[in-house]
Amino acid sequence: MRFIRDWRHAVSVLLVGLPLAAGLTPTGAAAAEVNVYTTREPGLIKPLFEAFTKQTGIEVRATFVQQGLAERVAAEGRNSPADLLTEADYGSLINLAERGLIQKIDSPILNTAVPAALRDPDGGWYALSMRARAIWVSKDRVSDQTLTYEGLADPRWKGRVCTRAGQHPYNIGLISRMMVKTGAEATGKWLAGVRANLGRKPGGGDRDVARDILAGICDIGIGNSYYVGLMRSGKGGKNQESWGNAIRVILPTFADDKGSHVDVSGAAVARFAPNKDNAVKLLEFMVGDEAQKIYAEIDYEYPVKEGAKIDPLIAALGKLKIDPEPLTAVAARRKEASQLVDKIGYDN
Amino acid sequence: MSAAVAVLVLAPVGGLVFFAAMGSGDLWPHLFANVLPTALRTTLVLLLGVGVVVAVVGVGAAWLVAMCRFPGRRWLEWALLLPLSIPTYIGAYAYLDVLHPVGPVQTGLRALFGLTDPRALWFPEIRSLPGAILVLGAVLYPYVYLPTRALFLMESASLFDAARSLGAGRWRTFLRVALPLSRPAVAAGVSLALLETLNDIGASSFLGVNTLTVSIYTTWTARSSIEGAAQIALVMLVVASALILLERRARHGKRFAAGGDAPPSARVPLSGAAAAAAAAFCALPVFVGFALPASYLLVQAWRRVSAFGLPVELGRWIANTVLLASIATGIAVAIALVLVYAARPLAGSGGGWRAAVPRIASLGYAMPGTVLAVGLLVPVAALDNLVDDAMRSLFGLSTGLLLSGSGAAVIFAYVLRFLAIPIGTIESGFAKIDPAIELSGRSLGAGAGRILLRIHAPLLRPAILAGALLVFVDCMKELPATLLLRPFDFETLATHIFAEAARGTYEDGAIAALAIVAVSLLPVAVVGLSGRGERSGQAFRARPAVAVGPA
Amino acid sequence: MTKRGKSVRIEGITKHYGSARVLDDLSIDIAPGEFCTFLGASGSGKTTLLKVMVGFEPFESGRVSIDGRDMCDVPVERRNIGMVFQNYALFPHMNVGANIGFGLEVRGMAKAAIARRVDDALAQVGLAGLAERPPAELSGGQQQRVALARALVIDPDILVMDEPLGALDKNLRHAIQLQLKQLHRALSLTIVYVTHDQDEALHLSDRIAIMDGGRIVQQGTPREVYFKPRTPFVATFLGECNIWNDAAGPLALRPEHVAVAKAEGASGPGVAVVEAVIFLGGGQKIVARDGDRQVTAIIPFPVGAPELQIGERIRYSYDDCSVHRFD
Repeated sequence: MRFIRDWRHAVSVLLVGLPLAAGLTPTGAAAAEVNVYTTREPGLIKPLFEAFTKQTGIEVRATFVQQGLAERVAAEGRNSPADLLTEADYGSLINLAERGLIQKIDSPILNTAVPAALRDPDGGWYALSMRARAIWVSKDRVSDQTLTYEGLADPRWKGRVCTRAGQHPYNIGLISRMMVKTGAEATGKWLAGVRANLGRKPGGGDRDVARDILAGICDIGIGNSYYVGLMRSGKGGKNQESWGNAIRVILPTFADDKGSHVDVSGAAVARFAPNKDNAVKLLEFMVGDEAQKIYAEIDYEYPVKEGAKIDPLIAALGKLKIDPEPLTAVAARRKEASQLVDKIGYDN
Repeated sequence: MSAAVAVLVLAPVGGLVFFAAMGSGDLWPHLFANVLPTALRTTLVLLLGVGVVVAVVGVGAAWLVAMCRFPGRRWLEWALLLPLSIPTYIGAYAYLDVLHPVGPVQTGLRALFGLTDPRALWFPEIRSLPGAILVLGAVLYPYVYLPTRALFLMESASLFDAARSLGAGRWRTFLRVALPLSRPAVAAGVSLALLETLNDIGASSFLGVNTLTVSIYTTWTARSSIEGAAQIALVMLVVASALILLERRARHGKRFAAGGDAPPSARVPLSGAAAAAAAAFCALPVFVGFALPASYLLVQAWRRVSAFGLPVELGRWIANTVLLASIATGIAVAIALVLVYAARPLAGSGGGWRAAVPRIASLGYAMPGTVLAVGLLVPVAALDNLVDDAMRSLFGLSTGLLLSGSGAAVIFAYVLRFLAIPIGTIESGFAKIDPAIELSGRSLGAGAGRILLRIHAPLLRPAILAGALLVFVDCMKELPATLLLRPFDFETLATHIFAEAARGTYEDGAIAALAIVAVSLLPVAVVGLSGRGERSGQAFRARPAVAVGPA
Repeated sequence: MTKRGKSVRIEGITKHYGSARVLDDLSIDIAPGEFCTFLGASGSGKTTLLKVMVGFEPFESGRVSIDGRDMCDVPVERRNIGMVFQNYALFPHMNVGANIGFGLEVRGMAKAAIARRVDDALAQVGLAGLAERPPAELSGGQQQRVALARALVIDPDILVMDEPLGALDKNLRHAIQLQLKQLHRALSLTIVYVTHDQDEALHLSDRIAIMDGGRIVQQGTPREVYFKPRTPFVATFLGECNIWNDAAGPLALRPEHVAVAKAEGASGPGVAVVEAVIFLGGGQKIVARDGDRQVTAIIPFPVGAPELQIGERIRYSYDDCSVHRFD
């Protein structure tokens, strides 16, 4: 084995013709490693990998790919070094499954830890953490204690709403779910109503919404739950702490009062994973108690595992009620939602 | 060699065609109805605005520092290059933060006026088309400043003397002689700046400006149609190439080889209000395009460092970034030298099609980095798999993914993306070398290779240096291709910044951003200093004449 | 165009480039209507002097006056000096007519009047009908004449020319020299001319100022400076000259004043050995050696006699009246 590795290094140096072999080794199967392609930001996911390595001795090599993860894996084909693919939203997970880039696994550990609604019915992908798409309001200027997503289109918010781009996956997810609930036409009306209420052009990130609320540009906006933890914890610096403290977080429901829009991050084992066993081990580790705790404490996400502890900053937001529409149904409307955003001209 | 390069350059286009061909085009009615009109209008306004800003600032500053004497001129002449070191996305983020109602500027203003409510003070919104024009214009004007200044200094000095001796004052000389003469340089510079604008995605999406490139991106990500994205990208590539071709045509025959070697006269001294205005005109772009974003980064990085210390991996990020950029620069310059050399008129038979290769090779500059990267994925991976299959069947051993696994793919992308730059500088350097020199070398019995190495390469050194430095800086700043094509577990400064930005922890990226600026400053300073003092430094013919199509 | 050119006075101009002194306390008066040539090797400061005079270059001390008026506060564009540049400096983006008309346009002249004046000027330099051409399509000589017409059409107080004929072939140069001479006489122009070509200076000038090291080392009519050089430098710079030492000190003798006769077998003073015979067309140049003295003589071809051969002995002689002693 060792010989083969060295030999392959030599060939790669010869073929590539660049003095890169030392620093950038071509990847391949090794005894104790697992390769991860992730659209999850490394800062959010790295602590997990470190814990995994500590526990198992298996080295995790992760590459953060923002877009094109699926395209890259597809192009690499049979020789892809990827073992585990992690994605930041369920739409991408479903996309991976539809394109046949992942493989089914049968793991009792995973099946027990992850509730059925939060994993691929076919055994492909598994959700690892959750976050709610919350409504943020100005602490000082808004007194409402409960709000619905539909309420964002209420004319009383005219000129007071801030969001990131409508085409961002976080918003596409919410709009898709609205479509599942109310149909395309009503969702179009709703989205046009929200657009009419905008206080500024959609753009930036969720945290910009909090900052703009602090600045008085808006009074109400949409943002993911974990950002509240990140801001309020002071991990992003003093400024962000002040943004986080300018808002009050409402975990809204749809008009049917069933629950909040929740998106998941998740992972799946790549179809041609060279280290499949290690990938499964890592995946199992990620739904274990220690990892779920890290998700909660470092990333301020909701653990998928029943009974895992939620970080106090997030727990303080109130009890999360999860909207029961199945993720697959929501994902099916994504393309339509995206076209709706275009039609309404939400981002223009 | 020329043929091989042409094929390689066209590889990402092939990749795009591959993706585009998989699509049915059923997205087009929707795109035409709802996306493209607005995106096109936004893009055109943005291009127009940035074009005007970079032309006015670039030409104006070049004229002032080249032809006039005023306090701070020597310093500003060099400092005007500094914004080259600021990536557009960093500029955009810095301005968003600094000019935000809760940022230092507005907070300061409110304190000044005794206002407490952030809403009480009206302030222009940076997250807008005008804001994007300002930010992009402020960091991109050096593309115009650099070649225009060189033209004013070297080619036309005696023409300005002639105009003045005929009674034309400063303004008339500028408007009637300098401006028309600088057209080729300005056109080249503006077209570069506009291609950068067209390709930009970081700054545009930060500032909520939905350009065509942003639409390509969202068509891929949100509309879940890489086929549609590739189709738009191909159309945009055709449009960009057509624009470049047009620019090339407009320039055709406009290369005025006037001026000769006569040393230019002393600069016109300005005094009083005129001197102050000139100094302000030149200092403002330096402030807006460099001083403010750089000091913003400095403050942010300092806060970060004093709270959490330096990131342990900083050294590795810098090493990775510099390594990739250096290798890509070396390869790009070498290829450019060979291509330009093969395309020169003296190359003899076969020069016809070879002359077109530098144009084709410049195509990469007209492609957004994201598009080029996605386009490269397919051919690179196909090649990798081909090699692997061959090795398996021959030796029963798997090589895995050599190119994409080793960083070679990133380097390949850099070279394709930025090859236009050294081609441009070396071409203009070549134009300055008397063909008789080569003839004399040949008559002394030297072959083509020896002539290239012993005669042309040393003579072209300033042009090569300028090209190399600019490619290096551009590679340092490159993001989308690095992100998509880099090997496992491999971070550069740019990918680290982006990762932090994606997470929203921009401050954590400040140190890496500052490192990019700092490392980029070195070559920028070298370019600047090499042209200082000697008013006829060839290094300043620098910026490329990017061109596609027949020369 | 009947007005008379104006006078130029240069007083005590000193200028440095960095630490190098390029003009050293230089003074000269140029009379109205005079054709004054600054002659010198490259680096002698002649072009810098020209630029100082026109106003392109600042200087540390001294004064430039035109027609008695100090030019200190008058910028180039208001000095009304016509200038012909070494490389012509024609505006490549304007056609010939626009080039010539540029100075008139600046002076606010009406379009029709400009067109008339441009046509006149073109006719004057023998380029009638070329107004629409771009400069790049003209020959060197034609470009030169366009540059001249452009400088003349503004009716300048002074016409300044910086090596204007350097790039032309000999015949063309001679033709334009002749034309220039005629123009000078016809227009009573004050012309300040810079060249490194001594023949050109001798042919054209009313007065020649020979420059070396940022100073004028001698000035005078062509005849004066040619026959009465004040220093060996001037003597050798202006045409060929034998510089010898005898008991009375150094002496200068023009080669055309040296007579040569065959002197087979002779030796002693006044006898030299031929080292080179150079065919000049109108005559021949003999270079011979008499001890450490190099003898150069220009003589007619001997009619009927055999030509001199290298290694042959000659006796050389000269009239004492032709000998010039330096002061």
